[in-house]
Amino acid sequence: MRAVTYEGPYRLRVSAKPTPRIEHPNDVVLRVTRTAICGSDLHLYHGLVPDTRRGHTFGHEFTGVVEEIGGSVRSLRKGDRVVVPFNISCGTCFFCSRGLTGLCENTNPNSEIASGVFGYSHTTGGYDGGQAEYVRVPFADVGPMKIPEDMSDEDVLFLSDVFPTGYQAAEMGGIQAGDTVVVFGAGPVGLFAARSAWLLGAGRVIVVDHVDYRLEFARRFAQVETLNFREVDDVVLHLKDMTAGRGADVSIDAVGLEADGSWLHTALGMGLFLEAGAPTAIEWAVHATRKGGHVSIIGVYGPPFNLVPIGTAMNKNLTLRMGQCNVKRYMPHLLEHIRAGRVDAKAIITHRFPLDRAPEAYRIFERKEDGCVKCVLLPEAEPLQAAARAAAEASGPRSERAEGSRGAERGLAPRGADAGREPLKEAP
Amino acid sequence: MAKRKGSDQRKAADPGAAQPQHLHAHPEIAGWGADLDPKNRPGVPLARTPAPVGEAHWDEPERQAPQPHLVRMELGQLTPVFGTAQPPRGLPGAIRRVAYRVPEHRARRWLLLLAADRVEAYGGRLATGALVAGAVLALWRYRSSGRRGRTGPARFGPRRMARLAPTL
Repeated sequence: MRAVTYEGPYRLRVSAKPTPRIEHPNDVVLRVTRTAICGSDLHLYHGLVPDTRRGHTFGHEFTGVVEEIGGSVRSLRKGDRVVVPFNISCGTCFFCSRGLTGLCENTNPNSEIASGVFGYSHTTGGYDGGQAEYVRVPFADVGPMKIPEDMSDEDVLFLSDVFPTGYQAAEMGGIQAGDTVVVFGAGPVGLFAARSAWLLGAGRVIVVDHVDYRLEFARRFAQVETLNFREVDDVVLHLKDMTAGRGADVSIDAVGLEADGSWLHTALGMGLFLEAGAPTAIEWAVHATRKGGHVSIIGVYGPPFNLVPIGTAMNKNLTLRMGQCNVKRYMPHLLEHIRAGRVDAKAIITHRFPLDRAPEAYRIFERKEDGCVKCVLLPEAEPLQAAARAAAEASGPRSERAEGSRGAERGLAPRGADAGREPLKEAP
Repeated sequence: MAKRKGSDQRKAADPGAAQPQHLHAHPEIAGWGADLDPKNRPGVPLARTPAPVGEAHWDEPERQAPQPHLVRMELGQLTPVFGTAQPPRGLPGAIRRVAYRVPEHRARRWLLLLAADRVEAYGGRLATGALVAGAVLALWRYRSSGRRGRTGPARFGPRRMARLAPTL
């Protein structure tokens, strides 16, 4: 099968890999129909996540069709369309049984800091991800959710990560009616956090970033006020001025470890590796939140440590909440918000690419070119049985083999209709 | 755009001013307040009364067949399910084995893992470079020995090798 593979920092390619197989009785193998590039994939792409091995396939946001099924799977059948949470969870351990599926203790032998995650290095269990034609999905009776007949794959694709993640960020802020909420970061998670803040009854939502087109997108998608931190002398003072001098009731860090805005943190964290990335958004959130307020951290940080103003947080009686999203518990609830038209999740898609052009998609997403907010990849693989038949036919007379398809197997050329295709871009 | 100074911002602010325009409902925003009641929030309370998630029908999940996989030192054995991608190998694998013997709360564990990643990424490129250099050297030697042995035009001159090298 074709899959996106990591070759080292800033280097990806599409290459041929063995098709995944059933390795546990509760596994299924999916044919991937849609897979998205997440902002946190960029941390892997930049080589910032420890134990990211050469040849690893990224991708933890995907939908697919069940192609193969393990012996103990009860809830799915071949041909079912499903959307899959990025957490891999057993469903019955101490944490899963309490709803904390992002902390499952039965799926990640490599590290205690998270459950297994699809395509997110060996620090989260060493599972290849969904930016491929096929993907192995463990614990099929726990994670995957069937896609309703009346909904498309793209309607629900973001239930796999960014919508529940943004919602949990807002929820961890303990928002009460009329609260002022500041969201740092206008990427997909920040957009959904802002949109979710309205669902939770916020009175005012302010999104902070420095990329103008993303702030413009935030104003349209989430009907929020925006602040470009590069246009003000001091972002914390400015936010306090916007909030009667006290600060926001709730601040949400939807940026994570690759934040701009502080040369000190950028030098220490991104240049010298003396801290784990740049925690600039946490620092701003702590200072820009009113005394007794809530700071919610959903941006991704890694080990071992960061320089954050914990003394200020302590003295201001702030409540700090943070954590990887427990996606499974949010999926049915947020599906209903999508179905009821309260949130149009697929509206954040700005670019679609065939899988073969994934390296280009990463570059555009990373450099924030062409108004890119969210990239979706289309693997367009054939069902496994059809692919097997095609392979059998291709192994017939040698002269009948198509030169192009052999090139594609090696990952050297786009296949068929994808060759030379322009990005499938939709106007935002 | 000129940056607005903090002092100007403070002058503009009125700490006593209420914000009535923001403290009411927003009926113009689809779904505003739909989850205002904590009962409608899926993550409240954080920890639920223990119960299986989804259609899980086991107390302890079956174990996947063991395969080469590094395990953090606190565990001692593989979890019931694990990823089988990219098993440890070569020099990066050896560095990772050392790292996995260090507890997670030690910074050196993570620094060793990052070092292994870089060795793997850049070592692969160095190995490719060394292969190319070795091939060019072999061709050069072949050419030199060939020239001594015959009087005709050399098959592999420096220009030919220079053209050939990038394709290797």
